[in-house]
Amino acid sequence: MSCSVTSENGIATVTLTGEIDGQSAPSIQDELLKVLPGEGKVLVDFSRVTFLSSAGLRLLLVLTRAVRGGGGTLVLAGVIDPIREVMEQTGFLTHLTLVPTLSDGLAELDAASAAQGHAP
Amino acid sequence: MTSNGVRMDRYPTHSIKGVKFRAGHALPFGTSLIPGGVNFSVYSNHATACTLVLFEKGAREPRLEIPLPEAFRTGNVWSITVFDLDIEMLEYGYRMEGPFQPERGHRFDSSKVLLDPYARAVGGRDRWLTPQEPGTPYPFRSSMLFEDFDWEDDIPPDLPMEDLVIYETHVRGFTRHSSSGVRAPGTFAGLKEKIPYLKALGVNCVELMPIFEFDEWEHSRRLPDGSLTVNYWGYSTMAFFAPKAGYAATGHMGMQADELKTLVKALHAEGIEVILDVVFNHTNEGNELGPTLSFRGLDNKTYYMLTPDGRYYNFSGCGNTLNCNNPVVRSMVLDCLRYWVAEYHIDGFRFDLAAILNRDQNGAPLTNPPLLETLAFDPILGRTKLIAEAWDPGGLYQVGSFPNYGRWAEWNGPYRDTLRRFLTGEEGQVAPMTQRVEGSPDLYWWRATNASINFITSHDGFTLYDLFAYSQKHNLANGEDNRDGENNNISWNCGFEGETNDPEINALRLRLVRNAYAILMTSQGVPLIVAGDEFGRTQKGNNNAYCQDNEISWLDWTLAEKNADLLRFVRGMIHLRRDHPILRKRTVYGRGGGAPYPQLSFHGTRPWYLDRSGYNRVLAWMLEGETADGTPDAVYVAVNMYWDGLQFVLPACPGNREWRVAANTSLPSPQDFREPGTETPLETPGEIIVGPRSVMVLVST
Repeated sequence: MSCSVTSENGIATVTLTGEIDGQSAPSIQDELLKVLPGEGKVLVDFSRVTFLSSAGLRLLLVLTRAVRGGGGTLVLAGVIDPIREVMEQTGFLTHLTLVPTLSDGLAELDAASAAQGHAP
Repeated sequence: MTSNGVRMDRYPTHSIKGVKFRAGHALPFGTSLIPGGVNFSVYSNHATACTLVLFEKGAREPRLEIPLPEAFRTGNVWSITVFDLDIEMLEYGYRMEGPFQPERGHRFDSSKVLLDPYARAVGGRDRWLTPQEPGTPYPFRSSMLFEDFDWEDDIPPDLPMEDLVIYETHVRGFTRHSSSGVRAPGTFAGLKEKIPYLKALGVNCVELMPIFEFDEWEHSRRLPDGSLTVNYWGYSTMAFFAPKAGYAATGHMGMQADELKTLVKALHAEGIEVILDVVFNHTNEGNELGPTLSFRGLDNKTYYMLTPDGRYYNFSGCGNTLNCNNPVVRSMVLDCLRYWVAEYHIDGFRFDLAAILNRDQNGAPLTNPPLLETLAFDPILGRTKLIAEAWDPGGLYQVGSFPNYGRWAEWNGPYRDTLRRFLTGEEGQVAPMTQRVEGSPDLYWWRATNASINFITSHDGFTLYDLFAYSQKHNLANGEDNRDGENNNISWNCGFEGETNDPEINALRLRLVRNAYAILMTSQGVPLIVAGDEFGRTQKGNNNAYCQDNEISWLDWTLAEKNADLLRFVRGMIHLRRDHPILRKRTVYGRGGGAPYPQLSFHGTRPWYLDRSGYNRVLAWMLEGETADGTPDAVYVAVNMYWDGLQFVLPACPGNREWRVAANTSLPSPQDFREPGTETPLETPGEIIVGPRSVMVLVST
């Protein structure tokens, strides 16, 4: 499991690779909660995550809530089908924003900030 | 707690092989997450020592065994807090030391690692029919789940009991067949994909056959013809707090709870309640020769009803009887039901062989059984539907007399039997049918119609189609030479045993099925129907398919196409019941409606006169009252179980309105059911011809 964060144009891109389970989830959570902007845009490249356990799903929900709580948006790009299926079957999908690719993710974040910009 | 929020019990006091622990909290029982660790608590009145056994998930042998110091015991409860555990990868159990003295009720065996009675999940059957490795020393382990599901603003529908139309189904059988068209066949997720179907059908309550963890391999056999029998139904509980992992597409990931909760939440969002069929009368540990998995090794004398010489009472017919009116066991049952309501948002329970719950510790029936009283008055279960199968194989039959505390409804066995006799043309059924149609006042007159769960079929016995296609059971596939299963089915094959190409026989069978739905949906009480019956499901005459995990049991959804006409009719009748509250009044017994009409009146071929004599086979009834918005309303039902058509002269339609025909089972589809607003006027005012073995339903306009 590896986790890296880059920041460009106000968007934090998190790249996760490998398997996220009860062993790796707590440290990823601690690390990301430290660096992620409390308010802003987060794009998670999920395409190289091959396995996501129950604890891993909960990590995603915690991160999403943390970012949203600060008025920001978190988007998951490239979630592989088997993981997406699990998300749907266990109800997590309704709480997460998934897009096919990183560029879709950028568009989604733009749209989200545009919507926020126009909010009364 | 100190002012900076640090608790002293976050710090371990002991360690073995690097695993740190300390004395735990005696409550709650089972496991609970506390800061930095997991608390374990287990009860035993007679054990002399307790060892916590920890496994890495899926490993054959334990990772660590922690004998609990004497100081870790409070009363008869052992508890320990263990730190730094990865709960996703944790499996555990207990070894209990104590006497093996069966004649005194004790059967301790410290070679066994026992399941926690409060286990939230069980490892070892993560997928349905996981291949069994011979000689696996510890086949079942307790495990933990995340209990942080986000229910958002889920509100259980809390429907009035009398408004329910209950749909009984087996989780796996509902979508396992390749024709189901779902992505996750045979699972909670698969069932969720079928919610639009349920919604269209019009049912508002799903009753799931047992979903507490059980061992589908129990009593499994390979028959001479190569087929496999398994425990498909699952009326044999292994862990009362654990949803069956093999029913979840995500069970292998330990996410069965999330998947089941997602299903419940989705059903609630469509106004559909969830009732669980629960089995508290026995466990899967069997008789004296059964395996030691949990209760037997934890405290046999507490958990089971024992004879004076220490053998198992067998009121359940399954080898043992759970000692439900022992205070410890009673608390466990209460904890369990509260847990399912609070954690899974379950709306009700149907108690298998519930008469057993009335027996004292020696098996004698109680007049004021503490368990039933406790459940009836429990605050968390305050809005939970409680339904009893009010008999047991030990001979206690309590339909109509089950201690109910104003709360308990009952499966109405007499409804089933009377309706079957009437539909198959037996004489002498008119008088008893009047009782059944009225909500069985002979059984429930001092209560309400909603104490009666009306049904004609259930999972146990023939399907509705088979009821009219088989006069005898055909259970050879069960491998017991057709000895198993009920012999007295009150069924009729319509002239040919089994499948036939005779169009008249096939038409008659489907007409009788329609008749059954027409009567069930116009009877006072709470109708229960069985999944697949609405499109003519068959088990090829097998009336005891508990062991058939195959096409005998699974719903064949191609029948929904083949018998689309029947499905349309059933859907229409369910909606007709929904549209006419006078069909589901809480009280009708002997009470007048708006003068001059009673709420419910009985008629024959002549109005206001019913021939109740034994040879009569016709019955009509009229309901008078209002629709939900206060509009005057009336429904008239005419049933002719005679083999020729008969003329029925009608009672005048109340309020100078007109009778129109909504349903007529003697006509081909789509004339058999007319959608609201398209009901047909009478051909001759004031009378109808009801075809042979047919039912007509009239509404007023």
